[in-house]
Amino acid sequence: MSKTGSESVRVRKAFHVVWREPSVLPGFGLSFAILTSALLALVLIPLAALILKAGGAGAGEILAIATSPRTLAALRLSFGAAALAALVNAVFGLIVAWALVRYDFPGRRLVDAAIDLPFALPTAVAGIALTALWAPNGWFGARAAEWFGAKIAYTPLGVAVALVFVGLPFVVRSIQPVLADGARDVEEAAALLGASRTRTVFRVILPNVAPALITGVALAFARAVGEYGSVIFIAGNVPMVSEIAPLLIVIKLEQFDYAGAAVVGALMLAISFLALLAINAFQAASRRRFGYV
Amino acid sequence: MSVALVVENLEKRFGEFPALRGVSLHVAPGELVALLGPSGSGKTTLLRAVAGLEQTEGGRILFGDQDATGLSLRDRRIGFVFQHYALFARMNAFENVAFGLRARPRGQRPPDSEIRARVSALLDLVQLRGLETRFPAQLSGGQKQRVALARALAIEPRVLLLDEPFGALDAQVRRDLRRWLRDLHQRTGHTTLFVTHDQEEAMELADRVAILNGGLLEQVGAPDEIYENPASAFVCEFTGEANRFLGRVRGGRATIGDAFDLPHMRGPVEGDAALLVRPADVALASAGVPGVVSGRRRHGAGLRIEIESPHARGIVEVDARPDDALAQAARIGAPVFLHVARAHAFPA
Repeated sequence: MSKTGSESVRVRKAFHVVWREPSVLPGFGLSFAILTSALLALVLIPLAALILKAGGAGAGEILAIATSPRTLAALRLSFGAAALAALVNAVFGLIVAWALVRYDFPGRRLVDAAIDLPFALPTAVAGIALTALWAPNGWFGARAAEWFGAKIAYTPLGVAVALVFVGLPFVVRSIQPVLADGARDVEEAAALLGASRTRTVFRVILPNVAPALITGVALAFARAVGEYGSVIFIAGNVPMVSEIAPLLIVIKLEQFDYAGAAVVGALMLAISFLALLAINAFQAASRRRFGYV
Repeated sequence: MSVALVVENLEKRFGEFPALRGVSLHVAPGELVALLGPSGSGKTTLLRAVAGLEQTEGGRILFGDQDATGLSLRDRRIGFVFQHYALFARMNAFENVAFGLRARPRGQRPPDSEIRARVSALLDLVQLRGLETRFPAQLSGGQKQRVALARALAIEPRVLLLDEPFGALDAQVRRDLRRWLRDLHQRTGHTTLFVTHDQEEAMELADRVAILNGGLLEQVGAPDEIYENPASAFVCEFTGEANRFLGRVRGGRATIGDAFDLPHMRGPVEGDAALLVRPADVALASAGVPGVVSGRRRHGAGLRIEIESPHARGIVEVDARPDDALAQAARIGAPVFLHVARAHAFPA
């Protein structure tokens, strides 16, 4: 073997020692390259461009846009309604997943398939359908007005309703597998030890489902923050009241205020990133403590 | 004799499949009984029915003289240890053991200080002191199983039920835990029923062994009795190694082949019979049942010689000492004779 050949082998070995555990699985180099280039091309470069664009506005202007009442109201609505919707979905999705996993009823498979509809439906279609239902003269909207004196469509509540709709599948699909193999024998053990049904649910089953539930809620929240199509129809888009941040970005773009749009976008990015980071940190702590997420 | 647990004529089917077909069993207080059988024999179903985890179609279960039929799981006060531990993953070892005490209705719940004392005592009993704050994921299989046992004992169970308690553990840990469980049972004296498919485990551990096959109870008895006097060919073959010879029984004497005959052990068999012979009861001899050596291999301290005989079903396995002259001559392909000292005769 030539000297350069053995040299290159040594370099490659050193590379492997630094970069990864020895493994019999081939393809580390290739998959690592694809991972990094995809991440770079699809995520990092666009995000960097966004931040660059926002940075081009100058500090004073950035601050002005970021603290303008309209921007703050839009951000508050987007994140607030997304959080509310995610919490509603946490409860509702848990019940749906429970029913689908635990009970066998006619049409179960159909219902199970229907859960994914919000994924599949064009968001505009969903938005229009929801608006028709919840508008003051719609099926649900009329009842809501009659019974509770509440107006749903064209208010922040309407935004939350649309976000509940788009977020549900994330929660259900995250919990389902955990509930499905959530060891029957653990529940039987609890019952034999004398635990009531409620105690079993709250002390044994829910803690086991919690990590998956948190993942699902985080996904639903992230999706809801960025949701546009299904919201703009039902929201009414009154500035300062029912105008979501993504819409504000579109409005700014239409007014050729690219820097302003980029600033709002970068703000959303930062808040979302922090929220997801917090959830990840929580899950890492759980993994350290219990040995799994 | 007082009785701690009575199972009467229990019937259970899963769809068309009969899992239990009229099983009856009495267990005395403090007794350790093994339910032994192959998979699908109904042993786990029986255990789960006693626990109240399976609804049965017929028969009844009594704890002492109390009918268990209408009892809730809580009121049954059963300590159940699952094969895969079924520990609560989000609770540490201490909280797992304390669960049953904390779950009691407010009026019957012991004060917190007493719960602490009792859980600590139980963790000492299962030799897990110092591991109170570990979560199940941080415990080994044997440790998890001992937490599960302590958890089951915490509710002061009337009956302790163990479902293949050592099934998921490796051989060395199994042996240790087996001896340890035997000691523990002698100290605490809980009436215990445990399921296993390992005959060695059942024979070594249990006061009595109940052998199930196809949803029927084939035999119940002390390990010695079962081994020495198996009630059926199934029991004989399931409780230990056995060679199966084909022979005839006439007037209480069994014959293998034309010439070789032996005192017939038991059973009202007449005519064609299956004669089951433990490896220890058959030896190479200068005359007897003819056969041809088909294999020889090391078996512990001795040799195990495999012999094909026209009078046996399957291979006959014979143990011999390596320095035995007949064994040294028994090369593969060599003709040999077998002497049968004892046999269990069953209808062919």
